[in-house]
Amino acid sequence: MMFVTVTACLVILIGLYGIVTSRQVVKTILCMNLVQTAVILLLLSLASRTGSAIPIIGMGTGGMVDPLPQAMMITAIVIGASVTALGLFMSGKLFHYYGSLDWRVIFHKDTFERTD
Amino acid sequence: MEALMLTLIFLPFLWGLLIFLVDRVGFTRTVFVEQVLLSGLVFWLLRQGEVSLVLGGWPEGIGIELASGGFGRLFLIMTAVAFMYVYSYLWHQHQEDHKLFLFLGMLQGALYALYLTRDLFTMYLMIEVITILASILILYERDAVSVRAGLYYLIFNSVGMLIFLIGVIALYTEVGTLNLTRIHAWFGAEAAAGVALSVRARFALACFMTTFAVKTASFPVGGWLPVAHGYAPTFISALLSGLVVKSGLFLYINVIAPFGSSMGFGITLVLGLCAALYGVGRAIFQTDIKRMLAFHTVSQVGLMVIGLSMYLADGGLGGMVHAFNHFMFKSLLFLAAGALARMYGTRNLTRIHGVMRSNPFLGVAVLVGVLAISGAPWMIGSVGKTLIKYSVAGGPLTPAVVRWVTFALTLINLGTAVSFSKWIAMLFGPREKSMKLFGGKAFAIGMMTVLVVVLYPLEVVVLGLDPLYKLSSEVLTYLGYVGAALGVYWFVLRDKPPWAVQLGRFVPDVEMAFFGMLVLIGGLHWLLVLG
Repeated sequence: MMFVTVTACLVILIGLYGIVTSRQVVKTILCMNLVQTAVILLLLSLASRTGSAIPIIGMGTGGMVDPLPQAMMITAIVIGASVTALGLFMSGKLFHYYGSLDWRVIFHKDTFERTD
Repeated sequence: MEALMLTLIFLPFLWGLLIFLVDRVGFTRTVFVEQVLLSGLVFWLLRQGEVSLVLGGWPEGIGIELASGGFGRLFLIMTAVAFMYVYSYLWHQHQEDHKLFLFLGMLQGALYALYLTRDLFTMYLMIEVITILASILILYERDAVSVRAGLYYLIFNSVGMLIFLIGVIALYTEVGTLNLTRIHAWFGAEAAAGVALSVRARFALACFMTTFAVKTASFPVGGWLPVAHGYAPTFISALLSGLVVKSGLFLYINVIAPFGSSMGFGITLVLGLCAALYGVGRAIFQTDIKRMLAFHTVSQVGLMVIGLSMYLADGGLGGMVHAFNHFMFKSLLFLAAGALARMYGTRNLTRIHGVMRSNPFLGVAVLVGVLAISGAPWMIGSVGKTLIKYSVAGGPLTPAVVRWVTFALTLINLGTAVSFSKWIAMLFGPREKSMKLFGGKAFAIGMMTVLVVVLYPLEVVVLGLDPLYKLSSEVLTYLGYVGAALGVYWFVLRDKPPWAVQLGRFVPDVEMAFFGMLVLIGGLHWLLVLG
């Protein structure tokens, strides 16, 4: 399990590095998704107990694994998917408006002055 | 009683869904009845004192717990007031846009859930839901600038919440529960036994501090706030700047303060000072009316963070009082700014003039907002600022640090006055054509103006303050700020020197902003875990 935990931590760091260095909007979103997945892996690795039963009453004998991290991670996966979907939708819109997905182009091009 | 707490969370969502499905303006009007009902529920809940409910009939500490008490009650009041003015303000322009009512209903339900929850994971969940909904509302106009602002907001805040989730995992492996009441009790017992925080607890604290800095737009990770709040529709900007940005403060009180870390206190103070000085420094050179207010939100939230650091050190309440008051006057200023931009067809401050003659009602509202934010005596802005000032002077800081912090506070007040001198200049000048304000907008602005004025005497009574305490010195200090501010405006800013225009237009690169986040994450973990 130690190997999985270390791998998860490494992937989190790689994802954060990617977020900082990406100049493309889609790459930033994908790196964010990478961190999200690694966080899920991290918690599952910390919560798993070799030899323990699944957390359903009547299934298996002896000690059960803690069901809370699993419930948390299902919710976190849903949130992650929503954030990614919304981010990619916005990226599509941005490409339509600016003709580029480069952060530098997007942030240094003011198309019009707002009046509201 | 418990069912009514759940009603507070689910009613806005279901009502919004119903409005969306029925799709008739006649039915949409019922949203005001709903808001009155929800305000009544909040009022009832406040009268009950401490109320708690464990969902699903699980034992306490196992199931998800909802509770009303402590500072959470202030946030409940703010949410009730915020949605009242939001619906009034948007009515004239958006009454047929039923999808908007669905998103706003969901946001209101999520905000009530956040302020009622006593569970760490539900807190994470609700802040994420609020982030997603806020992004959707920011890009609601679906033009290039809004979508850009929405995406920037989404990415920054989602990364902040991922760090929070890592902190939740670390804390859960250490304490074995996600229930905040139990977590507080655990930290209390550890502190009483004289046990120092473990590495895992300190790691969790560093993660929570990172999220707190991101959510409160502290330096150097506050770049998202002026972008998002400056380009959202007006009623959303008011909601975000007045209410949603303060979810970070709620997180601080409930999650970070119980750690009782002295290092955490010092870091919070520095974060607050940097944010307050950076925000006000950038605001001075802005000519876009809403971007300027957004930079002031960064600055004022920095002040609240300084106040909260004092809460950690000596229980000073200035930060929370200022948060409540800031919600009132910043909402008013944003609503007034939106109305002005619409009337004059520009957001450029230097092109707006003669407001007092063109629309005296709006002129008075602007004047009240400016007096409140600049901390004029006998206005609500002065209450929190004064409490923070005395809290700093009477706290555990060394005299040298007190002198520096007091100097910084003086600079922040002076900067705020300089910045808002442009708003005062906007009030005067020749009369433009007569400009009318539509019913809903006038009601929202009028309601917030009245609240800003009448809250001062109420706070004096509730907090037991003496309104005459050092009054002459406070008045003289304020007049000094006003004089200096008008001088700077008249001799420096009025002619729009090129260097000031360049400073106002400066936008940090996105890579620089993300790099700032990485530096913050690394710095906080180095200080709190290894330090």
